[in-house]
Amino acid sequence: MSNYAFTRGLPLPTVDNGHVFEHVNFVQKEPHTAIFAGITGLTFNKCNLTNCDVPVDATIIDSPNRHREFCTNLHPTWGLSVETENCVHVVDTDTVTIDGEVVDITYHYQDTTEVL
Amino acid sequence: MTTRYVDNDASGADNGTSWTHAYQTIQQAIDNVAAGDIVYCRHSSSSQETLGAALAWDGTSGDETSGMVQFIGCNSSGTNDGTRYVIDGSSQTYTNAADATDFWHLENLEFKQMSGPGFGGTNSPDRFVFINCSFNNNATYGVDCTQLQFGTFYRCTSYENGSDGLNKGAGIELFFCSFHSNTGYGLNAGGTWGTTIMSGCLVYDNGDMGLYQISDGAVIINSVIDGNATGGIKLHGASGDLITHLIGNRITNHNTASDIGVDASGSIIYRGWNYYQDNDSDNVQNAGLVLHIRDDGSNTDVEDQGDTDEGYTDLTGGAEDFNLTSSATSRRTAITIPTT
Repeated sequence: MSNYAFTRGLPLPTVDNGHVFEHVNFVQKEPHTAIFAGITGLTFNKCNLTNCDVPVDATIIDSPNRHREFCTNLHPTWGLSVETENCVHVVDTDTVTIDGEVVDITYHYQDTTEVL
Repeated sequence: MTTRYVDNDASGADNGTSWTHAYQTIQQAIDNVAAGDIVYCRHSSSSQETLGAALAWDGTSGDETSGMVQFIGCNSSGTNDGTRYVIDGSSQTYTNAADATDFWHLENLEFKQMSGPGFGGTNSPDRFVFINCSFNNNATYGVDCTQLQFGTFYRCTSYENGSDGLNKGAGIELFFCSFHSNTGYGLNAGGTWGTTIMSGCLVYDNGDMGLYQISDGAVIINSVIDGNATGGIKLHGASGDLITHLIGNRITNHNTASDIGVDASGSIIYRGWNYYQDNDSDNVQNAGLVLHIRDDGSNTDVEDQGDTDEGYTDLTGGAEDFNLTSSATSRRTAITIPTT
């Protein structure tokens, strides 16, 4: 098992055609990021392929392959694009009002569930 | 108190009264339990229950009179031998436990490939116990404890999730668990109130810090924090008077530039018998006050002795043996911690 998620900052491993990955985290920062382009016959078994576009002939077994946009306000250390507090990922707010004036707002964020 | 049965491969009356007539989805059991009920879950022929709809853990709470609501995974024969009942989200939105759901015991369950967290709570469900559960390959957190309070995790694993292995949580206890290969933190306590107690756990190879914003007053003992991307442990540092205990841990291989073994963030730490190796920056930094386990104030931690695969052993000189036996091998008892 190993972790090649973008947060790890490691380059993807160099592998031969037909390589089998098991229990590897390949989460990428941006949706539809190509990985292992040009490598054929790969198998991904029980890997996390969030935001990955794998080669078209790859075999994916029991590995989530969704695409999502991460919120920098949730993950400030991930090197994501800077967003305002009131970003597109806000799903709820808690507002404190005194004498009719809003004095504080707490934003609740959620990474975008699915990007097609 | 009723015993109920779930078998996603059953073909009987689908009323949960026996293995023959087991509920065919775990949701049916959740919807019908009462306090004190025990629900045994198995796959008699398949390998998992693939969700066909969102899963909602919003059943009736257990209570202190009738007992906890228990869900226990079994092998295909219906015996509890540690075999997990696997719940595959397969992109279904996972709806979290609701406010009324307290005092639940989940044993031998696996939550994977949810489009949100593997398991989470809303509106403060309390007093959950997880035994031998796995949370893996979920889109966000392995476990989202943002609203879940007083959870106990025993021999659980959270790995390869799209964010943190465990997110927040108040009063969380963790024994012999592993958090590894997650995209974010191994465990993000979020600085919430309530002490984190961690004993005998493995936190390694996570894409961010191993343990992050651990509340002051935490107790972290006999655990391995190794090879996490941005550092080992970072305490929250919000309290001026709670003492965080760090005893008998290995904190090693945080070797990206400037990575710290333990960033105390100004907290008071009580330390002893830890082993540090190959942390790029300081092994311990930013402690408001350091208290040592020996009453003469001497430091029993071992730092950078080049011993990268051993637990705590006697300091050179042999006088500082705080265990009942002088044999380092005998002091280390093998404990199997699940990593899948």
